[in-house]
Amino acid sequence: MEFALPFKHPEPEGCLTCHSAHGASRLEMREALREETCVECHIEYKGPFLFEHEGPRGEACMGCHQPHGASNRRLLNYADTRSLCMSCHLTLEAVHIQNPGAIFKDCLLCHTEVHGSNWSREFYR
Amino acid sequence: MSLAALFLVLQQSPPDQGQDDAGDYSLTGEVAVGQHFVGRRGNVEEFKAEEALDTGLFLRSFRLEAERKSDAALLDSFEVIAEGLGEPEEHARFAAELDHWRASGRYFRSRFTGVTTSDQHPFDIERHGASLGVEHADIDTRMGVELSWVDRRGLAIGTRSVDFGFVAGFPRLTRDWELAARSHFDRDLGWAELSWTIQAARLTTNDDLSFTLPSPSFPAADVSEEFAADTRGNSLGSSIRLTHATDDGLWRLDGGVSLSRNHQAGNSTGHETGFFFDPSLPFIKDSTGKLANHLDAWSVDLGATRILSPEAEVYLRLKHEDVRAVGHLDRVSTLDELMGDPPSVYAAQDLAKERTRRDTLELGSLVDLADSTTAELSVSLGREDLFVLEQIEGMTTRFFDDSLLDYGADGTLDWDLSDGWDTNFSAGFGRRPTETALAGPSFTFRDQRSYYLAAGARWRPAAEFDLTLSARHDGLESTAFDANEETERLSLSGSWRPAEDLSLQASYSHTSFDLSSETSFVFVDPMTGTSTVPATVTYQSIERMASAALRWQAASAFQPALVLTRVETSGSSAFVLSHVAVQLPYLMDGGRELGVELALIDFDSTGVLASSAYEAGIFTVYLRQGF
Repeated sequence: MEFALPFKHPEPEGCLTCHSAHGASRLEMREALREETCVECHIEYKGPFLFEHEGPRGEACMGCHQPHGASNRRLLNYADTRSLCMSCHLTLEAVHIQNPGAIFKDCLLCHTEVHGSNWSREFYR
Repeated sequence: MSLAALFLVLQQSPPDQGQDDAGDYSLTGEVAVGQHFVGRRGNVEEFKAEEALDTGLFLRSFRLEAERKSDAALLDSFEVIAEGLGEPEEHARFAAELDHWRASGRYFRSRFTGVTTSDQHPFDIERHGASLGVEHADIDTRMGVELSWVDRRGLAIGTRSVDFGFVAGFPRLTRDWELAARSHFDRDLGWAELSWTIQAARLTTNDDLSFTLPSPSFPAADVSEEFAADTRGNSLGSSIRLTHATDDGLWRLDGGVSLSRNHQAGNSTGHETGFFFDPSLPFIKDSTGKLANHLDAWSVDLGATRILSPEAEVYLRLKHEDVRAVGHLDRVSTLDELMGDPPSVYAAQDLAKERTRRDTLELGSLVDLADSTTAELSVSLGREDLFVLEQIEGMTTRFFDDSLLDYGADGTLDWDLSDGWDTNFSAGFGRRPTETALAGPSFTFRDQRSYYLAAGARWRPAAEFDLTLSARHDGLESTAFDANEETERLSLSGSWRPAEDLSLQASYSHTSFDLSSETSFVFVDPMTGTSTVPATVTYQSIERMASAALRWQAASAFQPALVLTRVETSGSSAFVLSHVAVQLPYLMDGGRELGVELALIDFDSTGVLASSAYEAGIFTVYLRQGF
């Protein structure tokens, strides 16, 4: 369904930009997609980081991003960042909100280096 | 001229990448430049946060690939690629090869704008980064080194707690500067493949804030603060891995060791002016702080994979991790109550210690059960011995010294029912410890349990028709805060090509999100002090997203497309986004393309966040030339 959405990852070489058509077993291609394809270009997220963002089991980048198409320019699986973060971190509201009427806002304003950090366990920098 | 006649006139041969000969090299590539025209009204800051586009020229893409054509050429090949220059995300890179050597470089720049309506503070952040590397490779050895630099600058409009209230609206500046070097050495030893990496990095940070603003309690009197902090950090790490495959191809064994050390030191200075609950009781407070954090970590892992067939294997992996961290913050404050007495001096230390030793076991398989059925299964089990001690001004705020367990499993079954039908089912569950909010020696961990169930079916009765239905349910439960979360997503998508030159894609998804968690609200009253009251916080949302794309390739030179998207969310994060895009590329002879794109956006947020709305039109014209 994602291909009809307005924001998508650039594909200078079409599907073959990311997908290998031949030359590897199905298992190897799947593992390469999960672990290696994205960071071949986005090397700043390759790490290894001292503090890694532990994503959903076995999904790597796809745990948060949908490169085929999304409703937002950051290609997130949810239409807004708050829902994406809280889909795993369900105690965030309880930890952060201590005032009645307070609104849970955007996590990435403080946790800016969410992909991984060598300096901050909470991904502040 | 009729539309059909116009298409006949426009019909040209499709663009090609072209190939030019330039001296000693054969060149291929393209360059595309464009101009955005952006019109917007409403909340411009919200628009910047979502789209971040301005009117102006931009480099849509540039690609130059050169291959040696004659012996006189200096290099075997080189390439230069750039995209998005002039847009919020800019990337450029180059690479050059000669014999066994390869040099490469990269530059990126990104800008992010946050707004008050959707974020805690208005916030702008800009990152620049570049890297330069060189690598040598021959038949059995590959080694290289890369230097990288990242500069990050942030500007936030901050808030500060003062006199049982808050002051807001002052700038807070942050700047980080990181310089890193990485090297790798890979060699085929004959009996195994060796991979060795070393990396070192240095980080410098600066934080500054300054304000003089009316007191929230007595607006006729000002309070002020100046704060600055600088830190410097060094990070050093190395990892070695050996991978061995048996001659019969049935086993793949690997093992690795990694080490890392991280040290940070910093200083802070602060100067405050204010009063004790009454402007007639002023004070001046100066403070200094010294920070030191040190972390050592190492890990070792061993893995074995049994290859049953080209499409089936089982694996086992064991990993041990050991991390020790110690941090100190020493603070000295001088308080002058302006009563003629000497200022009082107050010294305090905050301390944080952590030691963790964790063992993890993973077992998994991917197996073809039959010609048309594939199953994947993975199971993990972890045990962590954890010691935590945190003290603020000598008072223990967290202490924990015990073992924690976590485990989880995932399974997927792909089943091809027939030529026209594919189905898949997957499920998983996990249990992991989660921190509680209990303070002091009572601090402990509770369980967080998760599970998911998913199913999908794809029907493809003919090459020109495709229909996919998928459903997924996720559940999370944490006893740390008595928190529960349920997420359900149902999506339907299809594509149809009613004619050779016409295609239609459409999709719809419905996602519901329901979270509830127990917490404590903190009430601060100048007369009665601080009190806490048990409370429940919730976050609920329903997200509906529909999109359709119509593409017409009636003439090979003219391939218009229409893309419609509407996103509606309700509840805690309610907004409506309508997006209409028209793409009109016109392909000409000689690899030239002239294109026009129009995007109309209507955004309206009406949820518990402050309402925010904008309308925008983005008109883009571009020219691409292949060569």
